[in-house]
Amino acid sequence: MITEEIKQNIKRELGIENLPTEKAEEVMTKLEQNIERALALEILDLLKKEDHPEFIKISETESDEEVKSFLESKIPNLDFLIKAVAESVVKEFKDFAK
Amino acid sequence: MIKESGENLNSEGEEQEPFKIIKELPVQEEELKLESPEEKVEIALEKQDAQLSFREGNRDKNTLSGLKKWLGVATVMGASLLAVGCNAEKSYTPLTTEQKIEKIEKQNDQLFKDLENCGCAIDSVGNNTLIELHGKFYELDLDVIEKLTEISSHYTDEIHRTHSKDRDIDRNVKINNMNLKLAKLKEAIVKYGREISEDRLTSDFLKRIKEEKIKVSKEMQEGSVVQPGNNVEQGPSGRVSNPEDL
Repeated sequence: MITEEIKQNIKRELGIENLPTEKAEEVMTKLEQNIERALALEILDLLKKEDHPEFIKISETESDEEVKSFLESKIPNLDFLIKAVAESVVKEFKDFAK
Repeated sequence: MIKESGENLNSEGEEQEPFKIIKELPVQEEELKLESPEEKVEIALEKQDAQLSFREGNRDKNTLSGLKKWLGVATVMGASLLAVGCNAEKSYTPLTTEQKIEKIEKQNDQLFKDLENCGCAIDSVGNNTLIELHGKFYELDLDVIEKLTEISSHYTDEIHRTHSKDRDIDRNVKINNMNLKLAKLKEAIVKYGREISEDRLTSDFLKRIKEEKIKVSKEMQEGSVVQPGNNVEQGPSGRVSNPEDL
Protein backbone atom coordinates (compact mmCIF):
# COMPACT_ATOMS: atom_id res chain seq x y z
CA MET A 1 0.00 0.00 0.00
CA ILE A 2 1.34 3.40 -0.93
CA THR A 3 1.06 5.73 2.01
CA GLU A 4 1.06 9.49 1.63
CA GLU A 5 4.63 9.56 2.98
CA ILE A 6 5.83 7.08 0.36
CA LYS A 7 4.07 9.08 -2.31
CA GLN A 8 5.86 12.23 -1.21
CA ASN A 9 9.17 10.34 -1.17
CA ILE A 10 8.54 9.18 -4.73
CA LYS A 11 7.73 12.70 -5.89
CA ARG A 12 10.84 14.03 -4.22
CA GLU A 13 13.00 11.31 -5.76
CA LEU A 14 11.58 11.99 -9.22
CA GLY A 15 11.93 15.74 -8.79
CA ILE A 16 8.23 16.32 -9.47
CA GLU A 17 7.22 17.55 -6.05
CA ASN A 18 6.55 21.02 -7.42
CA LEU A 19 4.26 19.89 -10.21
CA PRO A 20 0.50 20.27 -9.75
CA THR A 21 -0.82 17.26 -7.84
CA GLU A 22 -2.85 15.98 -10.76
CA LYS A 23 0.12 16.15 -13.12
CA ALA A 24 2.45 14.50 -10.62
CA GLU A 25 -0.02 11.65 -10.13
CA GLU A 26 -0.25 11.22 -13.89
CA VAL A 27 3.52 11.04 -14.20
CA MET A 28 3.69 8.48 -11.43
CA THR A 29 1.03 6.31 -13.05
CA LYS A 30 2.76 6.39 -16.44
CA LEU A 31 6.15 5.70 -14.93
CA GLU A 32 4.76 2.76 -12.98
CA GLN A 33 3.39 1.40 -16.27
CA ASN A 34 6.78 1.91 -17.92
CA ILE A 35 8.44 -0.06 -15.14
CA GLU A 36 5.92 -2.88 -15.65
CA ARG A 37 6.60 -2.89 -19.38
CA ALA A 38 10.39 -2.86 -18.97
CA LEU A 39 10.19 -5.59 -16.38
CA ALA A 40 7.95 -7.75 -18.55
CA LEU A 41 10.49 -7.43 -21.36
CA GLU A 42 13.40 -8.36 -19.11
CA ILE A 43 11.58 -11.37 -17.67
CA LEU A 44 10.59 -12.43 -21.15
CA ASP A 45 14.24 -12.32 -22.21
CA LEU A 46 15.19 -14.57 -19.34
CA LEU A 47 12.32 -17.01 -19.71
CA LYS A 48 13.13 -19.87 -22.05
CA LYS A 49 10.88 -20.19 -25.09
CA GLU A 50 9.75 -23.66 -24.07
CA ASP A 51 8.48 -22.23 -20.77
CA HIS A 52 6.23 -19.66 -22.46
CA PRO A 53 3.19 -21.94 -22.96
CA GLU A 54 3.30 -23.10 -19.35
CA PHE A 55 3.61 -19.52 -18.14
CA ILE A 56 0.62 -18.43 -20.21
CA LYS A 57 -1.42 -21.30 -18.81
CA ILE A 58 -0.44 -20.55 -15.21
CA SER A 59 -1.02 -16.82 -15.59
CA GLU A 60 -4.53 -17.48 -16.89
CA THR A 61 -5.60 -20.07 -14.36
CA GLU A 62 -3.54 -19.70 -11.18
CA SER A 63 -3.22 -17.08 -8.48
CA ASP A 64 -0.65 -14.26 -8.51
CA GLU A 65 1.37 -16.13 -5.92
CA GLU A 66 1.48 -19.23 -8.12
CA VAL A 67 2.65 -17.12 -11.06
CA LYS A 68 5.36 -15.63 -8.92
CA SER A 69 6.47 -19.04 -7.69
CA PHE A 70 6.69 -20.27 -11.26
CA LEU A 71 8.77 -17.29 -12.33
CA GLU A 72 11.03 -17.63 -9.30
CA SER A 73 11.65 -21.25 -10.19
CA LYS A 74 12.71 -20.22 -13.67
CA ILE A 75 14.54 -16.98 -12.95
CA PRO A 76 17.00 -16.92 -10.09
CA ASN A 77 17.10 -13.70 -8.06
CA LEU A 78 13.79 -12.48 -9.44
CA ASP A 79 13.41 -9.95 -6.63
CA PHE A 80 16.83 -8.55 -7.39
CA LEU A 81 15.93 -8.28 -11.06
CA ILE A 82 12.69 -6.47 -10.24
CA LYS A 83 14.49 -3.97 -8.04
CA ALA A 84 17.28 -3.41 -10.55
CA VAL A 85 14.90 -2.84 -13.46
CA ALA A 86 12.63 -0.55 -11.43
CA GLU A 87 15.61 1.55 -10.34
CA SER A 88 16.98 1.62 -13.85
CA VAL A 89 13.70 2.91 -15.33
CA VAL A 90 13.47 5.59 -12.67
CA LYS A 91 17.06 6.64 -13.34
CA GLU A 92 16.43 6.74 -17.07
CA PHE A 93 13.36 8.89 -16.53
CA LYS A 94 15.34 11.31 -14.39
CA ASP A 95 18.09 11.51 -17.00
CA PHE A 96 15.60 12.18 -19.78
CA ALA A 97 13.81 14.82 -17.72
CA LYS A 98 16.98 16.80 -16.95
CA MET B 1 -7.21 22.32 -59.06
CA ILE B 2 -9.63 24.49 -57.09
CA LYS B 3 -8.24 26.27 -54.09
CA GLU B 4 -10.71 26.91 -51.26
CA SER B 5 -8.55 29.60 -49.81
CA GLY B 6 -5.48 31.45 -50.86
CA GLU B 7 -3.48 30.47 -47.80
CA ASN B 8 -1.00 28.36 -49.73
CA LEU B 9 -0.44 30.87 -52.50
CA ASN B 10 2.38 33.37 -52.46
CA SER B 11 2.06 36.99 -53.62
CA GLU B 12 2.50 35.88 -57.20
CA GLY B 13 -0.30 33.35 -56.95
CA GLU B 14 2.05 30.37 -56.92
CA GLU B 15 1.34 27.45 -54.65
CA GLN B 16 3.73 27.01 -51.79
CA GLU B 17 4.57 23.74 -50.17
CA PRO B 18 3.14 23.66 -46.64
CA PHE B 19 6.34 22.10 -45.28
CA LYS B 20 8.38 24.89 -46.83
CA ILE B 21 6.19 27.50 -45.17
CA ILE B 22 6.59 25.89 -41.77
CA LYS B 23 10.31 25.54 -42.25
CA GLU B 24 10.71 29.18 -43.10
CA LEU B 25 8.77 30.47 -40.12
CA PRO B 26 11.05 32.51 -37.92
CA VAL B 27 11.78 30.51 -34.78
CA GLN B 28 13.91 31.76 -31.97
CA GLU B 29 16.32 29.12 -30.79
CA GLU B 30 15.90 30.13 -27.16
CA GLU B 31 12.19 29.46 -27.37
CA LEU B 32 12.88 25.90 -28.40
CA LYS B 33 15.20 25.26 -25.50
CA LEU B 34 12.90 26.60 -22.81
CA GLU B 35 10.86 23.76 -21.46
CA SER B 36 8.69 23.90 -18.43
CA PRO B 37 9.07 21.15 -15.80
CA GLU B 38 5.79 19.69 -17.03
CA GLU B 39 7.08 19.56 -20.60
CA LYS B 40 10.33 17.97 -19.46
CA VAL B 41 8.58 15.10 -17.71
CA GLU B 42 6.24 14.68 -20.68
CA ILE B 43 9.20 14.42 -23.03
CA ALA B 44 10.93 11.96 -20.71
CA LEU B 45 7.86 9.74 -20.58
CA GLU B 46 7.42 9.92 -24.34
CA LYS B 47 11.03 8.87 -24.91
CA GLN B 48 10.63 5.92 -22.58
CA ASP B 49 7.34 4.97 -24.20
CA ALA B 50 8.93 5.05 -27.66
CA GLN B 51 11.84 2.88 -26.55
CA LEU B 52 9.58 0.34 -24.86
CA SER B 53 7.18 0.21 -27.80
CA PHE B 54 10.10 -0.51 -30.08
CA ARG B 55 11.32 -3.32 -27.86
CA GLU B 56 7.82 -4.77 -27.50
CA GLY B 57 7.38 -4.78 -31.24
CA ASN B 58 8.82 -8.19 -32.05
CA ARG B 59 8.11 -10.11 -28.84
CA ASP B 60 5.79 -12.96 -28.04
CA LYS B 61 2.58 -11.02 -27.50
CA ASN B 62 0.76 -13.60 -25.39
CA THR B 63 3.53 -14.13 -22.89
CA LEU B 64 4.22 -10.41 -22.71
CA SER B 65 0.59 -9.70 -22.09
CA GLY B 66 0.48 -12.33 -19.32
CA LEU B 67 3.54 -10.86 -17.67
CA LYS B 68 2.18 -7.31 -17.82
CA LYS B 69 -1.10 -8.46 -16.38
CA TRP B 70 0.66 -10.20 -13.52
CA LEU B 71 2.95 -7.24 -12.87
CA GLY B 72 -0.02 -4.89 -12.94
CA VAL B 73 -1.96 -6.63 -10.22
CA ALA B 74 0.59 -8.52 -8.16
CA THR B 75 2.09 -6.97 -5.09
CA VAL B 76 5.68 -7.43 -6.10
CA MET B 77 8.12 -7.25 -3.22
CA GLY B 78 5.35 -5.93 -1.00
CA ALA B 79 5.27 -2.49 -2.59
CA SER B 80 4.47 -0.68 -5.80
CA LEU B 81 7.14 -1.01 -8.46
CA LEU B 82 7.58 2.73 -8.52
CA ALA B 83 8.19 2.80 -4.78
CA VAL B 84 10.76 0.04 -5.24
CA GLY B 85 12.42 1.97 -8.07
CA CYS B 86 12.58 5.13 -6.01
CA ASN B 87 13.63 3.41 -2.78
CA ALA B 88 10.70 5.30 -1.35
CA GLU B 89 10.05 2.81 1.42
CA LYS B 90 12.95 4.29 3.32
CA SER B 91 12.05 7.05 5.67
CA TYR B 92 13.29 10.43 4.57
CA THR B 93 12.77 11.95 7.97
CA PRO B 94 15.61 14.40 8.32
CA LEU B 95 17.93 14.12 11.28
CA THR B 96 17.25 16.41 14.19
CA THR B 97 19.94 18.85 15.23
CA GLU B 98 20.80 16.67 18.21
CA GLN B 99 21.13 13.62 15.95
CA LYS B 100 23.39 15.57 13.58
CA ILE B 101 25.63 16.65 16.43
CA GLU B 102 25.74 13.12 17.75
CA LYS B 103 26.64 11.84 14.30
CA ILE B 104 29.46 14.35 13.90
CA GLU B 105 30.83 13.54 17.33
CA LYS B 106 30.74 9.82 16.61
CA GLN B 107 32.61 10.36 13.34
CA ASN B 108 35.20 12.43 15.10
CA ASP B 109 35.69 9.77 17.76
CA GLN B 110 35.90 7.08 15.11
CA LEU B 111 38.61 9.03 13.40
CA PHE B 112 40.82 8.91 16.44
CA LYS B 113 40.13 5.22 16.87
CA ASP B 114 41.08 4.63 13.24
CA LEU B 115 44.34 6.44 13.71
CA GLU B 116 45.15 4.44 16.79
CA ASN B 117 44.15 1.16 15.18
CA CYS B 118 46.21 1.75 12.10
CA GLY B 119 49.21 1.98 14.44
CA CYS B 120 51.22 4.04 12.06
CA ALA B 121 54.77 5.04 12.75
CA ILE B 122 54.55 8.53 11.48
CA ASP B 123 58.19 9.31 12.28
CA SER B 124 59.37 6.78 9.75
CA VAL B 125 57.86 8.72 6.89
CA GLY B 126 59.25 11.91 8.19
CA ASN B 127 58.22 15.03 9.93
CA ASN B 128 56.28 16.42 7.01
CA THR B 129 53.72 13.65 7.20
CA LEU B 130 53.37 14.17 10.90
CA ILE B 131 52.85 17.86 10.45
CA GLU B 132 50.39 17.27 7.66
CA LEU B 133 48.32 14.80 9.66
CA HIS B 134 48.55 16.96 12.72
CA GLY B 135 47.34 19.95 10.72
CA LYS B 136 44.47 17.98 9.30
CA PHE B 137 43.33 16.98 12.74
CA TYR B 138 43.57 20.50 13.95
CA GLU B 139 41.65 21.78 10.98
CA LEU B 140 39.06 19.08 11.46
CA ASP B 141 38.60 19.80 15.12
CA LEU B 142 38.16 23.49 14.52
CA ASP B 143 35.74 22.76 11.74
CA VAL B 144 33.71 20.43 13.92
CA ILE B 145 33.65 22.87 16.78
CA GLU B 146 32.75 25.73 14.48
CA LYS B 147 29.96 23.62 13.07
CA LEU B 148 28.66 22.64 16.47
CA THR B 149 28.71 26.26 17.57
CA GLU B 150 26.87 27.33 14.49
CA ILE B 151 24.27 24.61 14.82
CA SER B 152 23.86 25.33 18.46
CA SER B 153 23.33 29.07 17.94
CA HIS B 154 21.02 28.39 15.05
CA TYR B 155 19.01 25.98 17.10
CA THR B 156 18.48 28.35 19.97
CA ASP B 157 17.73 31.35 17.80
CA GLU B 158 13.97 31.51 17.51
CA ILE B 159 13.96 33.98 14.61
CA HIS B 160 16.30 31.90 12.55
CA ARG B 161 14.41 28.79 13.47
CA THR B 162 11.25 30.17 11.91
CA HIS B 163 13.03 31.51 8.81
CA SER B 164 15.57 28.82 8.51
CA LYS B 165 15.14 27.22 5.10
CA ASP B 166 18.17 28.89 3.52
CA ARG B 167 20.24 28.40 6.61
CA ASP B 168 19.27 24.74 6.72
CA ILE B 169 20.47 24.27 3.15
CA ASP B 170 23.68 26.09 3.93
CA ARG B 171 24.14 24.05 7.07
CA ASN B 172 23.58 20.80 5.24
CA VAL B 173 26.10 21.77 2.59
CA LYS B 174 28.65 22.52 5.27
CA ILE B 175 27.95 19.26 7.07
CA ASN B 176 28.36 17.41 3.80
CA ASN B 177 31.66 19.16 3.15
CA MET B 178 32.82 18.19 6.57
CA ASN B 179 31.86 14.59 5.98
CA LEU B 180 33.88 14.64 2.77
CA LYS B 181 36.80 15.98 4.70
CA LEU B 182 36.42 13.18 7.21
CA ALA B 183 36.39 10.62 4.42
CA LYS B 184 39.53 12.10 2.88
CA LEU B 185 41.27 12.08 6.19
CA LYS B 186 40.39 8.44 6.72
CA GLU B 187 41.85 7.67 3.31
CA ALA B 188 45.03 9.46 4.27
CA ILE B 189 45.26 7.48 7.48
CA VAL B 190 44.88 4.19 5.63
CA LYS B 191 47.45 5.28 3.07
CA TYR B 192 50.02 6.35 5.63
CA GLY B 193 49.26 3.28 7.70
CA ARG B 194 50.20 1.04 4.78
CA GLU B 195 53.38 2.86 4.02
CA ILE B 196 54.91 2.92 7.44
CA SER B 197 55.96 0.30 9.94
CA GLU B 198 54.13 -0.28 13.19
CA ASP B 199 57.08 -0.35 15.51
CA ARG B 200 57.71 3.34 15.43
CA LEU B 201 54.34 4.54 16.51
CA THR B 202 54.70 7.67 18.50
CA SER B 203 51.96 7.37 21.01
CA ASP B 204 52.94 10.77 22.35
CA PHE B 205 51.78 12.23 19.09
CA LEU B 206 48.32 10.71 19.49
CA LYS B 207 48.21 11.80 23.09
CA ARG B 208 49.15 15.32 22.11
CA ILE B 209 46.43 15.47 19.48
CA LYS B 210 43.84 14.38 21.99
CA GLU B 211 45.03 16.92 24.55
CA GLU B 212 44.88 19.63 21.96
CA LYS B 213 41.43 18.56 20.93
CA ILE B 214 40.19 18.83 24.51
CA LYS B 215 41.93 22.17 24.89
CA VAL B 216 40.31 23.62 21.78
CA SER B 217 36.92 22.31 22.83
CA LYS B 218 37.29 24.05 26.18
CA GLU B 219 38.27 27.26 24.48
CA MET B 220 35.25 27.06 22.27
CA GLN B 221 32.95 26.51 25.19
CA GLU B 222 34.33 29.70 26.64
CA GLY B 223 33.58 31.50 23.38
CA SER B 224 36.93 31.69 21.65
CA VAL B 225 38.72 29.65 19.00
CA VAL B 226 42.42 29.01 19.21
CA GLN B 227 43.85 28.92 15.73
CA PRO B 228 46.49 26.34 14.81
CA GLY B 229 49.90 27.54 15.82
CA ASN B 230 48.53 30.16 18.16
CA ASN B 231 49.90 29.56 21.62
CA VAL B 232 47.88 32.20 23.39
CA GLU B 233 45.51 30.29 25.59
CA GLN B 234 43.16 32.92 26.86
CA GLY B 235 39.42 33.08 26.44
CA PRO B 236 37.55 36.30 25.68
CA SER B 237 37.51 37.16 29.35
CA GLY B 238 41.28 37.01 29.41
CA ARG B 239 41.15 34.04 31.77
CA VAL B 240 43.92 31.49 31.30
CA SER B 241 42.19 28.30 30.27
CA ASN B 242 44.79 25.77 31.33
CA PRO B 243 44.46 25.29 35.08
CA GLU B 244 48.10 24.21 35.30
CA ASP B 245 49.16 27.66 34.14
CA LEU B 246 47.38 29.35 37.01
